[in-house]
Amino acid sequence: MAEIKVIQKRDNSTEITISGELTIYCAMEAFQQHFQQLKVKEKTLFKLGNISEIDTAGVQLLVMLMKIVSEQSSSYRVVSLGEALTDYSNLFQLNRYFVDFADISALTSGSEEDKS
Amino acid sequence: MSLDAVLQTFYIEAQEHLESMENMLLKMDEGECDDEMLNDIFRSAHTIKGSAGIFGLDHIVNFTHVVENVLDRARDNEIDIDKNLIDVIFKCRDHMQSLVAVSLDEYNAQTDLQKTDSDLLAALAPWTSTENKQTVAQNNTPAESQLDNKLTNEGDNENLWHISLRLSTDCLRNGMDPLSFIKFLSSLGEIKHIETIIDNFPQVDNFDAESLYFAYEIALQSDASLEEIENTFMFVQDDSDITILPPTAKIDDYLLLIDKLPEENQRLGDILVNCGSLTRHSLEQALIAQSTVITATGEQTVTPKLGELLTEQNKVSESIVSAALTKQKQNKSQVSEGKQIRIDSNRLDHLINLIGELVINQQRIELLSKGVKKPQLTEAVDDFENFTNQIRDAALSLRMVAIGGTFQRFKRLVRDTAQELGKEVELTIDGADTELDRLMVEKLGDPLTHIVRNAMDHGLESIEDRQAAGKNTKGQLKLAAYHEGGHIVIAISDDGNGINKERIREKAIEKGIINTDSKLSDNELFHLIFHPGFSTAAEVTNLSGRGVGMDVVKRNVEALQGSIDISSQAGKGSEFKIRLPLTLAIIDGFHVEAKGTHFIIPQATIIECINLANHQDIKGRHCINLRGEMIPYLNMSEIFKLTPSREQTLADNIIQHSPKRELVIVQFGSDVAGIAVDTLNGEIQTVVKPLGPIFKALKGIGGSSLLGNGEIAFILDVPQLIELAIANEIASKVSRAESMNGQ
Amino acid sequence: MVDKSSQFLTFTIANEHFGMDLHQTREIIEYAGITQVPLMPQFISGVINLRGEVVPVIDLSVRLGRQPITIHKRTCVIVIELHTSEQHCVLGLLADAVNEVIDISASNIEDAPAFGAKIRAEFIQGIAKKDDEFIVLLDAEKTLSPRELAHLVEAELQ
Repeated sequence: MAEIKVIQKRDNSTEITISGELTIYCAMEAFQQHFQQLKVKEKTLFKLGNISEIDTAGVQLLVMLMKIVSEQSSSYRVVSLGEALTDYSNLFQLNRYFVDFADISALTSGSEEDKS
Repeated sequence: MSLDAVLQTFYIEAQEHLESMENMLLKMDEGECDDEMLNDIFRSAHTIKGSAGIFGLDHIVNFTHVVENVLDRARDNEIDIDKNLIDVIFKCRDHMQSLVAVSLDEYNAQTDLQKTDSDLLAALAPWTSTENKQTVAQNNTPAESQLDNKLTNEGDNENLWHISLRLSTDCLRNGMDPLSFIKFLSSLGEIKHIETIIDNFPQVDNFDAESLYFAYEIALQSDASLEEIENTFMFVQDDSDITILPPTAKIDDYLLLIDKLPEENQRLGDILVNCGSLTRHSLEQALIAQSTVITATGEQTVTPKLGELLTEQNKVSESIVSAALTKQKQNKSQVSEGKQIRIDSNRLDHLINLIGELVINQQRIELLSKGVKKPQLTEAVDDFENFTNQIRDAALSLRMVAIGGTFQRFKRLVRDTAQELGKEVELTIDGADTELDRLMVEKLGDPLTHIVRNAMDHGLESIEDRQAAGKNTKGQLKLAAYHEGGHIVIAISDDGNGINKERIREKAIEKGIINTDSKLSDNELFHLIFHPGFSTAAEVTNLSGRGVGMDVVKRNVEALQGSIDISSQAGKGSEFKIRLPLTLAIIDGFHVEAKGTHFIIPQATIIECINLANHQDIKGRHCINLRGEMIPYLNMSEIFKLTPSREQTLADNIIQHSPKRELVIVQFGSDVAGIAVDTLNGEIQTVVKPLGPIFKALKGIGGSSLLGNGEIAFILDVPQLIELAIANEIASKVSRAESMNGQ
Repeated sequence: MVDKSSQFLTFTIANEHFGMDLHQTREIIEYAGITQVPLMPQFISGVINLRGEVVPVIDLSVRLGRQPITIHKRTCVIVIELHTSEQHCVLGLLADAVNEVIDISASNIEDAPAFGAKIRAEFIQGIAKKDDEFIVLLDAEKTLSPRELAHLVEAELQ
């Protein structure tokens, strides 16, 4: 079960830390408990370095999270990735979501993106 | 109607697959189980499902889909194959057989079929992965064609495959993570590019964390084959739209390949799949989409529609399609499977009748040519006879069918019956290669079934009883077929507790069939079983019937001009022997005459012919000593109470007491006897003309034949004749005894 | 109501006139000898070779409870074809003479007398009158029922 901490900071940012296993087994619970009603501030920081294990459901959750954040017009940064997520991201060539955090339009518009 | 004919083909082929499945299951039941078998059984189910899908037979598709899944998991060692599973699969197979026999409309109208459906699906539940039961005939999202084209054109084209993955939203829920597919694909080669598409992500409020929203377009550089790549997605194949495009190859290469294909009967799909242009699945979907057009118009217009559909979906180029279709037309006109052909049995019968007439005709010519002293003619006529015989034999062999097929079906019956009875039974089969006339094989089914069931029910003891008797708990049942003395013998034996003579006797007396003081031989006692209304079972079981079984069995066998013998030993077992004439159509015989009546004795029964003048009756009875062996004989004219025909009497009065008499020594079963006749007329081949239902009760004569001069001869049924003779002798003994007592 | 008329083949056996439904009669042939079948009851005269088909021939006279037919120059065989539920059956009937085919309308057919008839009532389809003569119309299927004939044969053989 993943450990999810959402800290609203005084400098108008939200810090979301996810540690442990982010997989299908707890995806539903995590989403319902933490993300469904999430409200973020102007800036969002993702600390994902302590994710020990992740699967597609987990990654979907992250992507959904990022969409939520974008829809609230918040800019986000991924501060740390961790090994599990890096591996997955490399395999699926998803790095742009986790590394190239500046370009959020791809997430919100839903259009076909040309490969990099 | 061409659609009907095609459906008929589907039905016949589905039957073959179902039969194959049953055989596999039987082997698995007996403990044999290997990967090859599991693959085979899976493939059979898969093929049935695929074909059914093409015809829009959704009821078959839906049910078989689940069965196929379970079989798939089995062959992949995901589940264990235990007796329970085998039992359920047996039942599923049987249900599939029922489904295959009805149309979709008929299925929808039959609630009992639907109930069996849900019952069995529920029974399968412990073994199924909780996969989405979507049917194959679903329309899927259109491929991202533009993206496909871009990817295949760019970069390194060597061995570059394009895989479009549109997996079911339930994928994750069902335990399938694309992560494993992609990892696996990487092991096949190098994933040059993978595009994860997130178009399908919903709004927050609709987000289901356990659904799959990702879609993928993958460019894979790999030396792997299409099948290997396809196999990656085997588990999710049915609920997803997966397209795999091979590395770009020239169209000419594809055409060459199609022509080089070995000559087999292939559907268009097979051809294209082997080409590598298309995955089996996309093609099926295209065909299904197309099949709705077929049913609407009632006409099959394959060429334009299929081509349109496929090119439309951008899956294959037009020239490839037309090449494949040409190939398919070529193949369709060929013989299926290469080794066997199906023919209309009526046509075969017609052919055999004609050959029979040919034989008669040939003999007439032979007769006529005897009078003409022309060596060339004689030679030509001899050749004619030779060829006619060969044609006759070849045609007859077409009618012959190995009995193994029938015997094999009994494996299933024995298994199920043993289960029902709570007994352990092992069935051995001997002489499966023995061939008999096709008609006979058909008609033997019921009698054999009854005897087998009877043996299992009454003959073989329960496990406890067998143990108590010191026998192996597994009851032995044997079906054997072999040739003996011009007959085919089919023997059903068991090592049970034998036929209870006392019980038969009691029952027979009770039913008034015999008197309390009747003295009967063992054989006669056993034959009482065949008396109508007879049943010795303490309770009449569901299985062997209400005593109507055995007499019907006997009648059926006799209708085939055969006979049944029973032997039994208390505590040891019983044997039922059915004797049948070798063929119903043409017979090799020996023409004899007795008091002007013509007879034909089947050649195969004859051991030798001797002249009675050279032998003396022993002790005044009808018995001679032939080289030390005592051979009883009967007088044909006595047994048949022959009197010279009116014509015979008018024409020739000498026949009455012929000084010279001939004895034909025949074999029947393991016995030997002689038949005394007036004249021997030599070998003859004739067509058997059944005498008809009116003469059914006539014993000793098994049909008639036309001689070269048009006269009618009677074909002897040797065993029956002997029986008749014995019966007569007993009767005469009895009447002699009675007349003596009377004095 | 239209008075249906049917065609009947009429023939003579021992000076009595009989008729049978025409579409059950296949053909009429001259008597050209017969092969006796061993052990058969008297009503089965034997079998004949009809263009390659072995056809049993019934002595109708015996079947109807009378003396066997005496064969003479005009004796002929009426070939009957029966289509019963079980099978299709070809039989021959011995007759002294075959007369004409006549049209008899249903209204001219009377039911067989319940008793007093010399022939079993179920054999008779009806009695017709033609030119001052009574013609006994036989029900071919009942008179020549292969099943019943087979039973009779069986009874005889036991």
